Amino acid sequence: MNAVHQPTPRPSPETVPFWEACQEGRLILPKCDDCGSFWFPPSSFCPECWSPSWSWVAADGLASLHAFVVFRRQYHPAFEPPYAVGVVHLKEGPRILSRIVAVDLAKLQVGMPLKLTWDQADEWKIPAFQPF
Amino acid sequence: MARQKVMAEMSNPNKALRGKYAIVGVGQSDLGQVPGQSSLGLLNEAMHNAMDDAGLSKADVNGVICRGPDDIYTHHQRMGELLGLDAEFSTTLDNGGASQILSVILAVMAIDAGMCDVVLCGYGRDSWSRTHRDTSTKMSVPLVPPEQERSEFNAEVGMFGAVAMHALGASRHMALYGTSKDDLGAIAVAFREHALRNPAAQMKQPLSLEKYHSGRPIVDPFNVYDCSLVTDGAGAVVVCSAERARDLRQTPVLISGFGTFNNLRGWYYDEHMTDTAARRSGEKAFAMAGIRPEDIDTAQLYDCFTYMVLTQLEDYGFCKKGDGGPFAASGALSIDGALPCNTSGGQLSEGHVEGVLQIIEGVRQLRHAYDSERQVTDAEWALVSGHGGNTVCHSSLILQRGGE
Ligand SMILES: [Zn+2]
Repeated sequence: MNAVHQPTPRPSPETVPFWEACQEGRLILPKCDDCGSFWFPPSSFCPECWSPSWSWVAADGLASLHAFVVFRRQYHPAFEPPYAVGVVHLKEGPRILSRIVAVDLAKLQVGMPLKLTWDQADEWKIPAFQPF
Repeated sequence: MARQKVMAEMSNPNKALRGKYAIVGVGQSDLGQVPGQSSLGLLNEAMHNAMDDAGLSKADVNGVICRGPDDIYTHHQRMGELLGLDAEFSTTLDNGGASQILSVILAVMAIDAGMCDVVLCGYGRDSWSRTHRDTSTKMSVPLVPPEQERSEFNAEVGMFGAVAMHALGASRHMALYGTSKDDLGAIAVAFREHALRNPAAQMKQPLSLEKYHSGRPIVDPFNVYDCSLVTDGAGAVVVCSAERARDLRQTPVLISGFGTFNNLRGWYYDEHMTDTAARRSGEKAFAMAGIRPEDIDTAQLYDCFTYMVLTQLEDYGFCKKGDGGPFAASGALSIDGALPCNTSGGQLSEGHVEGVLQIIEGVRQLRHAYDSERQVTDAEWALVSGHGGNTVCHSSLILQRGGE
């Protein structure tokens, strides 16, 4: 039987630096040099003020759980149910979709504090979050 | 660089359009498992039926607006070829389940601008057949086809399909407002009861709240009964001026109001999961029609999932934000309730044809086309909704029964 591979990202040119930083264990976000907004997904202009001047800034990895689901049906051979996926509200402002790991699924709660951890998929490091 | 205003004042709908155009024909294909027809073939059948219903012929049509599977490029060209029609105005729409109402809106705008006179609108997709043609694909029947999946920030975290995306919203609504599985179940049960009165509906078995709770889990908080069906099917409607409608075969159904709103910043942004684009889309439609939610006799709401009905009941103002659960659980949505909703069975129990059947059902209710057990008594006003792109884009249509 062949090894089951977890799906891996297919980055766009704008997101390559984000994924490269992930491989070094850093979660980085675009931050506007003019209005100070953070945003996600990465793009060439600030979506708030449309400034083209911005920088990659490391997120501190703290977040809260905006919403979550628990997969009961198997959609992909690499993801054995049950498992949780959530919309994670980063302290810096943006929200990202993430695995919620190292948690008793019955204890998941909207609003619960989360911290950054990493999930490994083949050669890829994927950001994930866990309660603390 | 100038800072863009976060939200400009809402523009004013043009009240002069109120009741100026009408839906004069509706038609559908067989629904459910229709292995003998392609997406285009299903829509061809529905469009022919809609034209027969209107009593119009090919020579009368000079506009075609449609939508089908995302893997059919320039879908309207393919339809025009099958219909044997050139058109003064024609396009394919790409707003998911908001497209079907949007096609009616666009038809009104195009006719009003003098681009065309009679517009054939429709949607068709062989959703069941394309996922069951080969038994090896039976294992996974995603409602989101592969061409719609994002290339990153999705599958690598285990996120798959439209069920999970909408379940996120239900999870947040439950946390914020105490909405329960009983509340979601009340919606599934009410629509199934309506489907049992509809011979064309896919679902033929009764559904009790107890049976609902025992449904196969898919993605918590949704089980199989929270999810709409996988349907081969198509529907079409014909739009022209109300003036012309007076001379046609059917009781005209007037397009009294419409509106759109698009939460393009996405499902995760702000409170979009629990305060959907239905709110502002509906405000516009009600303003154009000059009526209020309490004037609506029947609502045909886009029910891709139970929760999406619940939040729309709030967003359209049928009840307060947070009260959608108790409102649904009160029995309000049943055919003899305070707001008869999805009286054909909806996408949860009649068949999922991306909202076009909801327009058709609204029209038939206002024509008083049904026997008493299926007919909303004295229905004069109907609200129809559609949303797409995981509830990012929303469109609303308010219909009124026209004069005899
Ligand atoms: Zn900025």
